Amino acid sequence: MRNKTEEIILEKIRSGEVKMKPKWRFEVEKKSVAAVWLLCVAVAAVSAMSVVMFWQIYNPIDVLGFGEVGQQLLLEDFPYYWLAGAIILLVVGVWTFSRIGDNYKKSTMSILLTTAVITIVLTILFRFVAG
Amino acid sequence: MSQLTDEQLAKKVQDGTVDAFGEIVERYEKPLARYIRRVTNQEQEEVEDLVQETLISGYENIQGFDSRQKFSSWIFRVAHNKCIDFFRKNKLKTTTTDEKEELIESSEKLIEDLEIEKEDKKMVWEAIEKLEVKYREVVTLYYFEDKSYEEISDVLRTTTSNIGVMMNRAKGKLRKLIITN
Repeated sequence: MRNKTEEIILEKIRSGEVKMKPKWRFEVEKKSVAAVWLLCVAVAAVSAMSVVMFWQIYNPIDVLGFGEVGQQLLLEDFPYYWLAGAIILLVVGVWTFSRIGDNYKKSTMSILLTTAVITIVLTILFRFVAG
Repeated sequence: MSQLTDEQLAKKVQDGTVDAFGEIVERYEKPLARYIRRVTNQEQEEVEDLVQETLISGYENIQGFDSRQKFSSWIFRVAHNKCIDFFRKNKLKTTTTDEKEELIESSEKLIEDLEIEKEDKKMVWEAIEKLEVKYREVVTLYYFEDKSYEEISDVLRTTTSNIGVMMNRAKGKLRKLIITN
C-alpha cells in the first residue's frame, strides 16, 4: 500500500514532470572541478617559475652589493604580479582541491601540502623545460 | 525489492526502475521528516513539503550518487542542502510546547552525555532550538538519527575531527544554555 508522498512523487516521475539528470552531467561537473584545480596549480607553477628565474638572473646578493642603486633596481624589477598571481592561484587551487570527490575528509593541512608539493614539482619541471 | 540494500535500490533507480524509488521513499520519508523538523523547527505541512522537495531532488540527482558511498549519508546531504536553501528564504520559528514533547523523545543518550537531570528534558529542546544551525544539525544527526561521526562528515562535507570539535562545542553550549535557563 503506497502512502501519499510516495504516490505524488511516483506520479510526477511517471508523468515526466520530474526527470533524472543524465550521468554525463555529473561526470563533466567532477572533471571540470579537477581541471580547474590542475589549471590553477599549473599557472601557479608558471608564476612561481618566473619569480625563481628573476632570482637566478638578478642574483639579489650581488645586486644588493651595489648599494642603494642595486636595492632600487631589485624593488623596481621584482615580479610582484607573478608572485601575487601564484599565491592567489594556490589559494584557489587549495579551495578547488577540497571540492574534488571525498577530499573534504582530508584536513586543510594535507590539502595545502599536497597542492604546494605538486606546485613545487611543476615549478622545478617548468624551470628545466624553460632551460 | 524490500530485501535489497539502499545502495542496490539506488542502482536500480539509476538503471531506470521507477518502482525502486518508491521503496526508497518508503524507507526515508520518516527519517528525513524527523531530521528536517528538528533542524528547521517548522510545522508538519512545511516539513512535508521539504521532505517531498528532498526526495524529488534525490531522484533528479541520483545519477550523481556513487554506489561506493552510503546512500543514507547521500540523501541526508540532499536534505541538508534543502534546509540551507530554506534558511536562506525563511527565518526560524519557535516550537510550541506540544511540539517540544514530541521532539525530545529518544533524547536519553543526549541527557546522559550532558550530565543533567532527566526532569530537564524540556529544557534540552529549548536549548537545542537556540543553537546555531550547524551545531543543531550535528546534535540531531548524532543523537536523534544515530549517525556515526563518519556519516555526519559525509552529510556535512567536513572532516570527522571537525565533527568532533563541533559536537564538543555544541554540548558545551547546550550545558551553558540549560544552566542559564
